[in-house]
Amino acid sequence: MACARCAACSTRRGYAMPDDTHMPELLSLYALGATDGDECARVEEHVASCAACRAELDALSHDAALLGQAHVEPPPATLRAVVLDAIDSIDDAHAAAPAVVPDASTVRSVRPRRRRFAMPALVAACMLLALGVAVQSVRVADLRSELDDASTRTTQIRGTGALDTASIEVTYAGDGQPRLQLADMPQPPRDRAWQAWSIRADGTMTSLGTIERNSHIAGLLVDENTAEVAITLEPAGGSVQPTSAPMARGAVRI
Amino acid sequence: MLHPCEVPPRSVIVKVSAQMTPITVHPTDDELLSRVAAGDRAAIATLYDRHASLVFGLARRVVREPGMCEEVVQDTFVKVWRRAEQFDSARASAVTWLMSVARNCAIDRLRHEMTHPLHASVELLEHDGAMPDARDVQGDDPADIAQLHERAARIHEVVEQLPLAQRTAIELAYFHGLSQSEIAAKLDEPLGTIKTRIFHGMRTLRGLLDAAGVRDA
Repeated sequence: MACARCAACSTRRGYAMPDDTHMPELLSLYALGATDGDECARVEEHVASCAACRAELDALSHDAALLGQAHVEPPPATLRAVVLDAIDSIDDAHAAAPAVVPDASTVRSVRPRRRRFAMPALVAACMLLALGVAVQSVRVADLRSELDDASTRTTQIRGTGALDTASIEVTYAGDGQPRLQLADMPQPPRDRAWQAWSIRADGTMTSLGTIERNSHIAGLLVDENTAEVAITLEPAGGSVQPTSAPMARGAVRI
Repeated sequence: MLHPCEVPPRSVIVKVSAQMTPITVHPTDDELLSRVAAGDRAAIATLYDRHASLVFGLARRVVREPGMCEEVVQDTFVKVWRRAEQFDSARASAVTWLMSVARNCAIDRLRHEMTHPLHASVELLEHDGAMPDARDVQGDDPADIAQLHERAARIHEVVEQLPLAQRTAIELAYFHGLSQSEIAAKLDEPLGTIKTRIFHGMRTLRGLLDAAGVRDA
């Protein structure tokens, strides 16, 4: 469907200078990860409903990825074993875990993280607290014990756009208390922050906290009235209510 | 049917040896990612053998320090292992997806460690462009290694053909993780100029990649 907001929609292919918007420029910037402020959310909201711009963005992303293929350099030969051992250690822990949970659409097999994530998690948590970052209603969980706890059940939530490679999981540790675990979070644009939300059955949304720049890992407690959790991109410091569409959203099973 | 004097197109040339050898089937990257999503460790090892040199090469451009580059490679393949089911072949090739993961890992590492030198753009422009010898590149097949090396060289040549102002803006975004406003501040140029440079630069890049025949690969 053509979209009045984006000149690329009217041309369907190739590039076209925008008639009344800058969306083609934004697509290029987005593909290179160079958007500012709320532009990232604008692009993602737009391409979610515009097939032509989505195709154009895919093509631009392909071109951008080619930039990274202009340099080939072999890693040290010893690194192969290190990487494969790290992957093996994930599944070794997986094999030790009990069989898990229903709903194959949202529940992924239990894969406690590699231990190498535990210390960075603690460091990130300490930095978060030491720097006095404004995190509302957030308790950084005991990540070390939790990440190493092979009995932890996990529901994975798939992010979109900038969050497509982030690790977003609701974990249910031995105490039954669900936690929203975020890892590998990309840096939000300047003056922006990721904000996590609790969504109740009646649709009301309350903030679980913000994840500011330089915070890759966070553990947020989810209360018992939470039916779903979501993550949006908000102005730095957070919002009272979401101002953009969720880039990740998933159910919580208490 | 080709006349005996005609040379068949390169794509249908088949090497025939006097002695029959077993046919080795090389799974595509898409197939490997599907197998990785199913938990096939051999598949992730094969992906590593094919693409670790690309990922490491990208990491060297972004974070430079060898130890951090190794961390980026490890982060990338662990993330691929954990997220392979998110790969959508309808939206991107396997290599595009892999390199997007790698680029994100590298930029995250760069920002997190905050070791990026202030004179990055100078280093960028002074990059000597030297390509490593093909014999140094790892891979699962010598022909693949040579092809990878040749393709990288062609992409490198294409990027070098971009007008300097456009290339600088694009590379500051892609390899240094700067936003358009950060690029504008760094280059002391108006924001609109940077937007336009990147837009036209990406358009030019597409045309050059198409002309070089590396865009569809």
